[in-house]
Amino acid sequence: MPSKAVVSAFVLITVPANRSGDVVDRLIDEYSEFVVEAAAVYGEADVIAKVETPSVDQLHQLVMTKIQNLPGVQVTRTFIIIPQLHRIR
Amino acid sequence: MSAALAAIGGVLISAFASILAIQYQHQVTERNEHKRQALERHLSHYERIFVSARSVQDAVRDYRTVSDRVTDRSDPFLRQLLAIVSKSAYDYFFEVDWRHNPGMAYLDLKLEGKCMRARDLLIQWLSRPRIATGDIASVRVAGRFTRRSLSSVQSLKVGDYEELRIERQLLVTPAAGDTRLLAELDTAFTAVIVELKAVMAY
Repeated sequence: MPSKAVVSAFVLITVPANRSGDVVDRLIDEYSEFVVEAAAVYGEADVIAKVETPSVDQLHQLVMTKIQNLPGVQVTRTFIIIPQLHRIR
Repeated sequence: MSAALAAIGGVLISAFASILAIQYQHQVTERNEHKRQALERHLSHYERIFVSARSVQDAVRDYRTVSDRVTDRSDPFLRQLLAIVSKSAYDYFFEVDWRHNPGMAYLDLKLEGKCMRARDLLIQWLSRPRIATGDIASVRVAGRFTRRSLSSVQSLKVGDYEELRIERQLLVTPAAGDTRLLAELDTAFTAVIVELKAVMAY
């Protein structure tokens, strides 16, 4: 787990099919401070981003005022990672 | 002599009055005949106005009923009802325009005025923005979703939820003065419908 981050979460984002690429690019370009990874995926969600913030407040702020306001974003689903059960190879 | 003159005068006056009465009667008959012919020729056109007016009134009443009862302004059904009002209003605008419906050119002036007043009220109502976007937050705890206000999300801590869901939704918001305008619309369309019914029953 990264040393600075206190709260890590996966954010599943629903966007219209043709906007997935734009959302991935903007997540990485504009919020690189918090967004560790972002990818367009097949399936229930359209984009999945892994984010790391210093606090849970900042996570909610990031999701509600930044990610949710990206053009085309319809729904965000945030899942906070349980630190004790988080492994990175 | 004067009695004879008076008698002649009386006869002339009564003859003149009879002529006037006959002429008036003739005009009434002609007007009725013209109305009958116009009606026969344009009955289908009047029916089109009637049907479109009924559709608008039904749609407005449905919207009004649901809008008053609904607690969730993002309910897609409400948006659908608003779309139905817009669609039926468009049909009505089309039908009360004499360029699209020649029946309007033969409609009684007063009734035409009522049709136009209903149209103007409808334009006034439709011109006010009712669709707004808004975010709705809900959290899943023990497998169940619960709606949360956006402001309360900030106070949530780690472990308070399994999933935080923020959804951008279209909200149908009532405009200022809607209640009065909807009532006026209903009255205006009732007048149009009742009078058109009378014309068609002629």
